[in-house]
Amino acid sequence: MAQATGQLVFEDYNGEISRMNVHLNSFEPPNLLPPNWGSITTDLDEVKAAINGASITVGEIREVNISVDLQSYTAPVTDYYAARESKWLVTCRDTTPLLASGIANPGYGKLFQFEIPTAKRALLLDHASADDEDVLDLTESPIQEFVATIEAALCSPWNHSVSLGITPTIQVEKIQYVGRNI
Amino acid sequence: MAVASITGILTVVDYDGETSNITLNFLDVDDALATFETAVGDLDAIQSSIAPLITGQWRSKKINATYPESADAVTNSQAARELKWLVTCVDTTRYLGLLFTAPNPMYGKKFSFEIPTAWRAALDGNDNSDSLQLSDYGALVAAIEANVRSPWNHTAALTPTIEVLSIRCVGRNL
Repeated sequence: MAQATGQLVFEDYNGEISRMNVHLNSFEPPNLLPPNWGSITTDLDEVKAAINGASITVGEIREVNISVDLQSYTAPVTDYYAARESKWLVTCRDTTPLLASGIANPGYGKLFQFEIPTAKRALLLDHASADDEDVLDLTESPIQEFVATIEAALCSPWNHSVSLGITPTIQVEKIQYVGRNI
Repeated sequence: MAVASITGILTVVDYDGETSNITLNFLDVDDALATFETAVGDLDAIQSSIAPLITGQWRSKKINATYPESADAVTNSQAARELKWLVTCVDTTRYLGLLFTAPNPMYGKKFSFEIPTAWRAALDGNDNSDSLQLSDYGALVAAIEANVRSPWNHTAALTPTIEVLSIRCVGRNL
């Protein structure tokens, strides 16, 4: 079971935003029980429709969000080098030229990044790039496996549509060791 | 709903107990294609592939789906986010298990949520109370009771129950 939370985002007359949060039925792990994502979205739709139907609000609903807390973990941290300020900065490139036939992707060729905290800096001892000692060699294990998974599953911020017939692609350009304060 | 953009969030804790998040964009989820479960699988795969690169521990794994809604202008000048309907509910589930052996420790506990941009005129004709007469809003109450769950008791398979106690107009600063 995973706790699902629904959120309706309202905008008022002055453009200010406020949110309504409710708990919904738990999301059942797809490997154990029949998937119930559809029923969760329907539940929140019914609440939204009831609020609209009762005409008790005068703002506009701008967004509907559903969050699912899939899992919590309790294992202790045993490596005293584990510091959240120590990060892997992963730089990727959007490599999809077209969003659909004849429609150019405005994000094509653009870079985007994300960070992984508590970086295992010791990996650089054996797996640093020949050009830069703060950068991992993407062709060596276990970095190679990580890169393959990222490229298969992640999307760029500009291009993540499932309905246009072209599967978005990205390419990992660099994984660099950096310090960050959050 | 229709198509949602999906974000996965992995929370990592370091040796001093500080936490930090990894935020990742995934392929959109199309409800009609039941692709949400695919996104969950993708997040699992990424989590496994990140594990050899970090020294901290996982603390939580979350996925967010965002569905865009109305782009209409807000035309009612009385729409203010600070004016809310405070909906108070009570957890009415006696037992958590099917065999009636596990009492719900939160049975009878109240919880609440707020609905912004309250239409205060809905109170016109009411008495001096700031609360809606629930009997006039049967459809809304029924939808909440059928779909909203208490924060402590939400296992879909057990059909948890709640009851709406009041819907009151309040002012809040967020």
